[in-house]
Amino acid sequence: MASVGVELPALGESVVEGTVSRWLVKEGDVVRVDQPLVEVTTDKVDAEIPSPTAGVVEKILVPEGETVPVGSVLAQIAPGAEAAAAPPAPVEPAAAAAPAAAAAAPAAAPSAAAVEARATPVARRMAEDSQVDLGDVAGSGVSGRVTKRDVAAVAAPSAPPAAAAAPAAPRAPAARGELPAYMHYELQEGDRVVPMTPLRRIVAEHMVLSKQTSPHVGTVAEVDMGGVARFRDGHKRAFREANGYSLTFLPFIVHATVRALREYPRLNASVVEDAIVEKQGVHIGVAVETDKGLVVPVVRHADRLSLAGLAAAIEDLSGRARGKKLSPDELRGGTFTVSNPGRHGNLYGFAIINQPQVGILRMGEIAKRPVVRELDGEDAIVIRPTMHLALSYDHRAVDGAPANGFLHRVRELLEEAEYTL
Amino acid sequence: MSAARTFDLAVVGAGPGGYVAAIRAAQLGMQVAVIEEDRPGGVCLNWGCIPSKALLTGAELVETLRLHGDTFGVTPQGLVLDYGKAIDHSRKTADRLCKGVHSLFRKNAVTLVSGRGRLAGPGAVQVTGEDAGEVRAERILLATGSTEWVPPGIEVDGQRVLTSREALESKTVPERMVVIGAGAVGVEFAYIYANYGSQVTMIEMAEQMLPGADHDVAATLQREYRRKRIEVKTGTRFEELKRANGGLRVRVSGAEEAEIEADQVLVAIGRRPLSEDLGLESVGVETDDKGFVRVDAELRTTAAGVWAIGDLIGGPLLAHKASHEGTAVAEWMAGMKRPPLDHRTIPGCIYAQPQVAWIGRSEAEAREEFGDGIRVGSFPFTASGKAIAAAHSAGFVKLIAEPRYGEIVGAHLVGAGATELVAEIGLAMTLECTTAEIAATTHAHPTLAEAIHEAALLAEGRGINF
Ligand SMILES: Cc1cc2nc3c(=O)[nH]c(=O)nc-3n(C[C@H](O)[C@H](O)[C@H](O)COP(=O)(O)OP(=O)(O)OC[C@H]3O[C@@H](n4cnc5c(N)ncnc54)[C@H](O)[C@@H]3O)c2cc1C
Repeated sequence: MASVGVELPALGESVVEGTVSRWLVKEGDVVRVDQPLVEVTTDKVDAEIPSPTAGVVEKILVPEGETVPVGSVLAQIAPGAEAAAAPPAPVEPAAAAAPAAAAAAPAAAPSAAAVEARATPVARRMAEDSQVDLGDVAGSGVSGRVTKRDVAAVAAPSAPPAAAAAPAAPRAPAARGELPAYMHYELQEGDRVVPMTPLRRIVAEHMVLSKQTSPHVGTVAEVDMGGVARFRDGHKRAFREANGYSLTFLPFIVHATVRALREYPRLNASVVEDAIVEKQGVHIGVAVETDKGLVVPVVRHADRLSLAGLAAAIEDLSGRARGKKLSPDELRGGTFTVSNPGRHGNLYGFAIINQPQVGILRMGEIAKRPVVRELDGEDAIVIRPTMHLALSYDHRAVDGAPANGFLHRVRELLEEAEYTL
Repeated sequence: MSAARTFDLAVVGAGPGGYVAAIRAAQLGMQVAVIEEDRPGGVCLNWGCIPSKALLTGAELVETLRLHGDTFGVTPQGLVLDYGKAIDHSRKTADRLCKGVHSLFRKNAVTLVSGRGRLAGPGAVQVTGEDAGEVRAERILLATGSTEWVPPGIEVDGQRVLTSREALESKTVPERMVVIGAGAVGVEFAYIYANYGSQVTMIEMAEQMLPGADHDVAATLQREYRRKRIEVKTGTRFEELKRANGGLRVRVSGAEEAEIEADQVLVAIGRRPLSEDLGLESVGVETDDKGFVRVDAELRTTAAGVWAIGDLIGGPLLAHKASHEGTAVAEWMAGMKRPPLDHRTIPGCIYAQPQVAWIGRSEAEAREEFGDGIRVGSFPFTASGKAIAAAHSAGFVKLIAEPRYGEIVGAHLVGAGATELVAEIGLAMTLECTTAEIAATTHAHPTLAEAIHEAALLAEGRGINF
């Protein structure tokens, strides 16, 4: 069997590198599935990386103290079958006197059992790919063999609908193989099974974690974007010519958001143990879609920037996000998030809070809609570009009144539309 | 039998679906009755797979002597062909196997009820005929199979116009035979008649023989048939059958507008389910618009307590599919946990020479499903020592693997032994094997099965002998 690489997983959506702080095993050690191999430190979390397979540590590739990007191979494990045959781990002199085989055998036994679970060749490969322990999977194939659909069912429990930015939080071991019966899905003829990539799994775990951590409450405002649109239309050409990129709606939203956040600091906060920490800095995460998935770069001190400054910062970050040229610093430290799903954002939707923040705004589609306005003392139906702005907030930290007040304020600022470029 | 008799399971139809289900259910402890209006064994054993294979063996023998006798120094002088004897042998074979089913029923204490069955409300089957009366059972399994489909305007008389059913009893060979339809049945009978001396013309509406089969397979088969001087008209539509002073004229359109003269015509363009007059409405068993009984993934019909299997429910109309479903349905009825049915692992086989066998997806289907990254390993029998020694070097083995894990998702074989060789792929697919497992298996030399090994190596880009 080919050896398995232990990769540095993305320990959070915005984590791009990690430092090996301590190896818990040595080359030649016999390890079980999920046995912690190495401690890794990132700016967000300190984590233990578990072994993806039972076997023998063949090679340690990253020494302690070294910092490597996510996805780097930290070590090679020779999977279990060879575990018993592998050179015995260096042991204390006293134990060394005992026959080597006897010393290695007890340690190797559980791993061998796991590896020898009856499974089809494809199921084995899938399990390796998606880091599923075959021992955890109930087999439905001939003579109880684990088949590809069994692995798929464990590897990809129905992911929560990912609405927005992935919150960063320590990776929790997913409870696998313990789903209640009503959550099982029997694969049907023609179904396509797409095993989750490690990144996808982390995103999924974070979504679940955020929902479990924060009681999400939603509120929606209908915003008349007429003023903003008029301002933008008036400056679009000149702006483009001067800067080489377009003036989008997003900077306007961020502009209003940061001003409202200053008035409602409770929305620019985190829950830390038994306290709510209202933060001084206002750093806005802007969710950017890239071909690798959602990335949330952070506009630092967004409240200090003018509209033009915000436009420039967002353009710069999203451009480099798509080119994968962001530095880790640019992905950390957001205090509030604005998500712009773009032209197909539909009427509105509630995003999942990017932990450890307490609020996220999601823009709906800006479209011309009939609204009632008073013109010369008469009610009239007029056509205005409007947008639904949806706020998801963490009810642990924020009550309805400040949340509604905040959103209402964002709306006011957008409708007042007082800008200079 | 007059008073109602009660069983745990009543099976209607004793074909390869019904009889296998009955035996499996009996093994699992059920009291089982099988209602059969004709002979146990069904179409397969009496009027399908088995007798046709007996005739094919004769045809193959003739072909071998004619084509290769001289190669091996066996020169038949004045070869005498008596097709009637081959028919006799095929009937004896069917009789013998039919008796075998009787004794299997006895051995497993399955009650055979002779007569025609009809659903008569929940849990009841009304039987007419020899063992007339009512059979009651908590579970009812419908396995009445299918029969020839003959398009309107063709009158089957058993003399000049035949289906496979009549052909299997007809002891003469016409001078000119037209076979309508180049599916499995048409392809096999064309081979039989051609070798016993008929001038055979095949008509097929699709652009290839064996519509639905992998293109390379169909193309190879067509080339080989043309070599045998069997005329194959693909893309040609049957229009009309005319009877003219003792002969027949078959009018066709499409690739060619023509009238083909014939002494006999074999109609082999499809089969239809025997779902009429089964009393389905009495319990609410639904059928699709072609009359096939609708079932769910565990073969339950739309009526509680009624299951259906085999040709009656459609899918590939094959005996082993019916039997496999028979085993599965009995196990599900008994509450056993078992793997779901996978129609992708049912091989399709044609037993004329060169033989054809396939399983899983065609190359085109695999490309559609998995993209252009699929791995295809194709090994021709012209590179197989065993095939050349046996003077059977036509054809090839083609293995198709998906790109991600190399799982085998299809195999297509043409050539001698293909129908036996495909079993290895069936096992591999059932166990979700990849080309690596086949490549890692030592195949005896010299065998035709080595071609599968080589095809696996080729799929992995490391062929040795080609
Ligand atoms: C010429 C020919 C060659 C074939 N060759 C092959 C081959 O090589 N390999 C292969 O896999 N398949 C072959 N087939 C197809 C195969 O024969 C069928 O797929 C198979 O027989 C289907 O099995 P079954 O149990 O569903 O139905 P059947 O075999 O059709 O059996 C149904 C049984 O039910 C009985 N019955 C019907 N209605 C009633 C009723 N109301 N009451 C009581 N009894 C009833 C019938 O008499 C019959 O015995 C061939 C078919 C033909 C025609």
